[in-house]
Amino acid sequence: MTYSIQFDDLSFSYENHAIVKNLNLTINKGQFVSIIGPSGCGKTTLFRLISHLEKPTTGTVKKHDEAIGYMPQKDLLMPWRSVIDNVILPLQCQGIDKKTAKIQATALLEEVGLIDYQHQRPKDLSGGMRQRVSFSRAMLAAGTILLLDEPFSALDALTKMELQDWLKQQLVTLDQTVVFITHDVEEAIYLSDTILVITDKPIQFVIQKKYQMQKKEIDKICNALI
Amino acid sequence: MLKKNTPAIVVGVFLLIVWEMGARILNAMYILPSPTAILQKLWEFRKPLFLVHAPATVEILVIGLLIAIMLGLLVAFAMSANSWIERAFYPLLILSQTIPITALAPIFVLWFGYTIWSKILVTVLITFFPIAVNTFDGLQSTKKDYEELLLTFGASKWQQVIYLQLPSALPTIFTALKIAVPLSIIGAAIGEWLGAQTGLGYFSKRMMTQLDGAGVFAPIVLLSLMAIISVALLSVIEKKYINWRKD
Repeated sequence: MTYSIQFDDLSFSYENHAIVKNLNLTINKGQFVSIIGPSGCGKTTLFRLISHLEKPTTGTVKKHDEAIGYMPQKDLLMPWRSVIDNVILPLQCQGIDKKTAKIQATALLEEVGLIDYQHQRPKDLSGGMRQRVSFSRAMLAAGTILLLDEPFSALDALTKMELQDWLKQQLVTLDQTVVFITHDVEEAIYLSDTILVITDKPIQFVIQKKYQMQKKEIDKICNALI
Repeated sequence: MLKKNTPAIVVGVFLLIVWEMGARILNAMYILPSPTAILQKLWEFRKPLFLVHAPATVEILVIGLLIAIMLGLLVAFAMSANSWIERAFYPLLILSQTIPITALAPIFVLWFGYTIWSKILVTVLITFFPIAVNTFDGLQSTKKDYEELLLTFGASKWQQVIYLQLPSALPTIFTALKIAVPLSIIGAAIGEWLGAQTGLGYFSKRMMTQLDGAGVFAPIVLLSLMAIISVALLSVIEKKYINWRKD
């Protein structure tokens, strides 16, 4: 199986504090991988390294596809832009003209059930709807890699469950590699096919589990960590 | 709107009544003219005031403000884009505020004579600072999370400015303009007081030499009205275009 993201002997330090040390990790194409671990262990740093927001001190991160769809914890929608104008932003950054970008965005908004809200401003939407807009924007930005950083953590339980189902449904039809950071073990088990458990700091290795077989074991590790 | 401004209207009317009564009791119109006397003077001099002097002042205001806005935005964007420029210019900008521009105005008259440019220079100098500093602060207030998100989209520096920095700085730019417009009116009037052949400031000074108190106040009323109307107009535009903030 070919890799989608590969960390090769990667180390990263911030202000002389080692966050990642000699990490070797491969995420294969088409995998849905959840990363769990205690707060401050450097999960988001892994995302920042993948998306080139941070440079490794040594080693490399290789990606099969440079175009990344990044969905942060906060929706980070631009309040002055309408829903559709927020969604087309990554395409505009790629130099695609607004008209063409809007055709793509309209099709996507239709799929995610937000077409009737395309001209609304973010302030007029609920938390769940805003996250769906943010997801649509990440989808348009992405080639084959989606990085989702605790996208549902700020939502209430019911909206969270609704969006988890919705996300699962969306990804059935897509052939994308998804890396998902979460604190919620249940969520990780429900959504992903592989779970990476970060156990040490600095991150040196991760325990990779196929959840169906080892739910109990993951729960045990996470209860000890979180 | 009317309900919201009722307290201000009530206090304003009360102060005008006190002023009117005080002026009548003092009975020295060349020192303290009454509001009704000022209105009479406005009507009496309506032709020269509205057809000659007000247009001359407006011309200075428009040119001065346009130059100050262009310069202010240019300096703010340059400082925001380059930290060396920021370190070079920002302290000088702050320092420039310690110079009393009004005291420098006579020198500008020496340089440019009674032409429009001495007044425009005073207007530019007095309004440039709030525009540059407020815009710079607005540009700097862009949240890092948004900047990084745009970086993950592959946005260029220019795209960061157009798609993020400029829109998020717009509220502070409008605040700067609402400060700058009344200041520009003060700047133009000072310039005209010190050396001009037309303009509301010049007219006020001429009335002063004739000990005509109401004549001094009449153009001042017009200047105030100009400031009120301009700020109100800016507020309307701001409300129309910056309607994305949470209610």
